[in-house]
Amino acid sequence: MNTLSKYGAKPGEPGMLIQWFSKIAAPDLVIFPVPGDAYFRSKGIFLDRYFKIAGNPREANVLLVAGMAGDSLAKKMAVAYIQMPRPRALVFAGIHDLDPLPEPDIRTGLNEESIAALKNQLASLFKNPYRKDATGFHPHFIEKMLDDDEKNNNQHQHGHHGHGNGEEQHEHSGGLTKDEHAGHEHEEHRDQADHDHKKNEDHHQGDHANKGNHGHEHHHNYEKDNPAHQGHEHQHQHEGQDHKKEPDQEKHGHREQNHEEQDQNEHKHEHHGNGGHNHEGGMRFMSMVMMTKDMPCAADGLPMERNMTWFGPFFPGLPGGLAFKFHLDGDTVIKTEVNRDLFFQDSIERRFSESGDFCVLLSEVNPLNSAAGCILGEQLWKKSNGKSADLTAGQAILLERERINSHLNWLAGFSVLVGNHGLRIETLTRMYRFQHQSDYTALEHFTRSVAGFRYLKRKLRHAGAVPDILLHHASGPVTRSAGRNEDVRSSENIYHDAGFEMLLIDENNVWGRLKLRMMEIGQSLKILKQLEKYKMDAVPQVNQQNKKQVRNSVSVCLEGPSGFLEVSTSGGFKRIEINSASAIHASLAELLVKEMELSDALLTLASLDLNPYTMKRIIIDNRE
Amino acid sequence: MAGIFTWIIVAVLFFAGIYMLAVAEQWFYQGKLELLHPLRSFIRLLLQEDLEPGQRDRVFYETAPILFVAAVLGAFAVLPLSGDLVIVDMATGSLFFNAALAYIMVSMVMAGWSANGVYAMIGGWRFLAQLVAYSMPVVMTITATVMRAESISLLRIVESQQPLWNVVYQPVGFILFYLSAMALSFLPPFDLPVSRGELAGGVWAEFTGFRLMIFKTARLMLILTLSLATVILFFGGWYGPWLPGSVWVILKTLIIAISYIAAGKRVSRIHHDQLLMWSWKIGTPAALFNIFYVGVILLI
Repeated sequence: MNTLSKYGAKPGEPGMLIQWFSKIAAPDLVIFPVPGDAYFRSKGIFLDRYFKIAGNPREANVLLVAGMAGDSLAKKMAVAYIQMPRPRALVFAGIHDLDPLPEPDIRTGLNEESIAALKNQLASLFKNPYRKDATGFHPHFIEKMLDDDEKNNNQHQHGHHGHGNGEEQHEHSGGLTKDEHAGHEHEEHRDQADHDHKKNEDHHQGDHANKGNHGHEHHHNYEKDNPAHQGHEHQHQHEGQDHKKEPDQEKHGHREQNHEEQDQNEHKHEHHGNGGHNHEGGMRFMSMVMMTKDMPCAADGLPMERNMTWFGPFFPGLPGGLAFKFHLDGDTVIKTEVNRDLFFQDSIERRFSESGDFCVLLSEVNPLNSAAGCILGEQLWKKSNGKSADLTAGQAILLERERINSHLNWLAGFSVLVGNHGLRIETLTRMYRFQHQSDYTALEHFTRSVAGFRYLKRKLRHAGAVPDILLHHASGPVTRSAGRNEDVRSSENIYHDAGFEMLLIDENNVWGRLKLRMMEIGQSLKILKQLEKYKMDAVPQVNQQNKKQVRNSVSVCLEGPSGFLEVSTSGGFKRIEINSASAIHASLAELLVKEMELSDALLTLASLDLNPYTMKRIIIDNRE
Repeated sequence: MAGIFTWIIVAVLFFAGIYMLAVAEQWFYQGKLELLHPLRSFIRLLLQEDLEPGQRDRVFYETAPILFVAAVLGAFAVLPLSGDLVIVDMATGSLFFNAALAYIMVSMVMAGWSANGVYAMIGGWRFLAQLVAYSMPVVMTITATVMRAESISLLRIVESQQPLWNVVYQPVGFILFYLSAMALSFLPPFDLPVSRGELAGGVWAEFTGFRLMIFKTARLMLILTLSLATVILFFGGWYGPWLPGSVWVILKTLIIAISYIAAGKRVSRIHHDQLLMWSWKIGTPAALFNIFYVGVILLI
C-alpha cells in the first residue's frame, strides 16, 4: 500500500481508532497550488472543481507544484512545504525534479485528466498518514540561513549593549534598520514561520540543540513589541522594561534551546524578575510622547513602528509568483519593492539554443500568455524572412481567446482579493463554459453584470489612480481605462476588418481597469464572432529549417491581455530582447503604492494585471 | 427546570445546527455541497500536526481559542430556548449577552497578537476597529427591544413580542442588529480579520490543528448563537402559529443562521474605513432614531 513520504507523514504508530479516523478524513484534501491557481487555469485546469484551495500553506495538506521555477522560487516552494502541517503530500505536475524540494509523493501530468485522477490517488495516500521513520524536512539552505541568523544576531546583541540607559528611543528606532541588517530571516515573513516550524519538528524528535532560532525570535520581537507601544498606552512602564529585557532574553534564548521544555518556565520567571529589577532600579517614567519622540512619523503625523513583510510569491490575493515587499506602517504601506527575479532563469537560454524555435521559446518565457508568445515567434520569423507580418485571422482568434481567458483569470484572482465569493464562483463557471462549451452569450451577460456590482465600484474607485505624468509609460487596459488611446491592435488590418474599435473610458482607478477588462471581454467576443466568418486558415507552420534571413534586426509587437508585448532581435537572432507592459507596470507599481492602506495597495497592485513571468526586460544572448 | 434528557436534546440540536452551518458555509462560499465535508475537515484538523510559531506569546496563544469558545457559550447560556428552558436564567440577560460577546474581540486581538506574525497582527487590530464600528449599533438596538419589554430579562423581551414581533415593530433596529451581528461574527463582507485575499487568513493564519478547529467551530457556534439571539430579540422567540414553540425556535434560528451566511455571498469585503464611517455616520444615528421612535410609540 502506498504511503506518504517520510517528510510528509506524521511520526508515530496510530492505534485502531486513529487509523479509522484517518480513513474518514482522507478525502479531505486542501491544495496549496504553486505558483498559483491562475497558472493552472491558464493551462485549462480548474483546481476548484476537484479540490479545496488553501489560502496559506498552514491550511493545506497538499502542495501542488507546477511550471518552471528558478532557484529562488524553488526555495520559496520548499519553505511553503515546510510550513505545512503534517500529514502533507507533495505533488509535481509536469515537472520531474525541483531542488531543494524533496522527492514528491506523486508525479503527474499537467493536464486535466491527471489532476482529476489525483483526487483518488491522494485520498488513498492519506488513508495511512503515519510512519515510524517520519522526519522533519530540513534542506541545506534553511540550515545555512539559521547559521547566518546566529552570526547576525551576535552582532546585533553587541549593538544593544553599546546603548546607554537613557537611549531607549534610539534602541527603539533600531528596529527600523532591521530591514537592512537582518539578512535572510527578515527577507521574508514566511521564512520566519518556517524556522518556527523547524523548531517544532525538532521538539518532536527530542532534539533541542537547535541553534539559531533565537536570532530570529529576537528580530521578531521587534516587530511584535513595537506596535505594542501604540496599542497599549497604559503599559508604558512595561515598555521600558521590554527594551531592557531584550538583551537578557537573548541570553535566555541560548539556554532555552538547550533545555527541556519544563525549564523554560523557570526562565520565564527569570525574565520577569529581571524586568522587575530593572524597573525598581531607577527606570524613570516615560510617556508615550517621550518614547515615540525620535521615531519617524507617517504622513498622518503619528509615529509608528514599522514592519516589513513579503506579500507573495504565493499570496492568495495576488497572482502566483508575484512578490512584493511591503514596508508597513501600521496597516499603511509606505513603500513597496517588487521582486523581479523569481522566474527568470538561465535554462531558457539553453533550451532555446537547443531547439531554436521562437514559438516554443516565447511561449515558455511567458506561459500565462503562451498563445501571444507563439504568435510573436511566428511573426518574428516571417518578418525576418522579409514577409509581411500582418496577423492572420487564425492568429487573431487565438489572441482574442487568450485575452478573454486572461481577463477572466485575472477576475477570478481579483475576486479573491476583494473577498467576493459569489463573483469568484461565477467567474470560474463562466470561464470553464467559455473554454469547453464556447458559451458566448452567457459570458457577455456576465461581464455586463459585473459592472453592476455597486459596492465593488464604490470600493475600487478611490484606489490606484496613475498620475498623469506616468500614464504615458503604461500600456494596455491601464492606459485605456484612463482615456489614453493606445492599442497595437488598431494598426492591424485583420482587426480593422473585424470592426475593431478601441474602447476608452475615463476612470483612472482600479474600478476603471476592472470595467474596461469586462468591456474588452465583450469586444473580444464580438471580434471572435466576426473572425469566425473568415475561412479558417490553418495556423501557418513556419518552416524554420529553411531560414534565410534577410534582415538582421527585427522587432514585432502585439497587444497582449495586460498591454504590449514586444520582441526584438539584433545581430541575426544572436540577441533577443523581450519587453512587455508588465516590466514597465512593475516599476510603476513601486511608484504608485506609497502611503496607501494595505487593502488599497493590494487592489492597486492586482489591478495592474502584472505578469510574474515578464517582470523585467528579458535579454537572451545567444552568442557563442 | 427541564430534565437531563431535554438538555441532551438541546446539545444534540446545537451541534447538528453547527454541522448544517458548516455545510452551508462550504456551499455558499466555495460553491460545493458536500455533506461529509465538516466531519472530514474536523477530524483532519484534529489529527493534524500542531505548528506553533516560535516566540509566540504562549499564554495568549493558548487561551485565545478557549476564550472565543467561552465567550460564545457564555452568550448562549443566557438565551432562553423556550419559556422554561434556559441554561442560566439571568434577570440581566440582555446585558450579559452583550458583555460576553465583547470577549470575541478580545480573543481575536489576543490571537492575532500572540501568533507573532504581521498578517495575524494586522488582522487582530482590524477586528478591534471593527468592534468600534459594530458595538454601538448592537447595544442600542438591544436597548430598544428592552424598552419595549420594560425589562432587561430576555424572557420578558420575548413575551413582549407576543402581539407583534419586533422585526415589524422596529424594523430599523432589526436591520442594524442583523448587520452588526454579521460584523461581530466577521462573516463576509465583514471578514476583515480573517480575510484570505488581503491577509492570507489573517488572525487564523498561524493556527493549525485543533486550535484552528476550535476557532472555526466556535465561529459557527457564534453564528448560531447570534441567530438565536436575533430570533429572541426580533422574531418573537417561540411564538408562532400551529407548530409547537420549540419547533419554531429551531426553524427560525436555522433560517436566520443560513441567511447570515448567504447574505454576504455576492458582496465584496467592506473597506474598514468605510465600515467605520457608515457605522458612525449612518448606523449609530439610525440606532438612536430607533430608540427615539420606539420611545414615542410606547408613550402613545
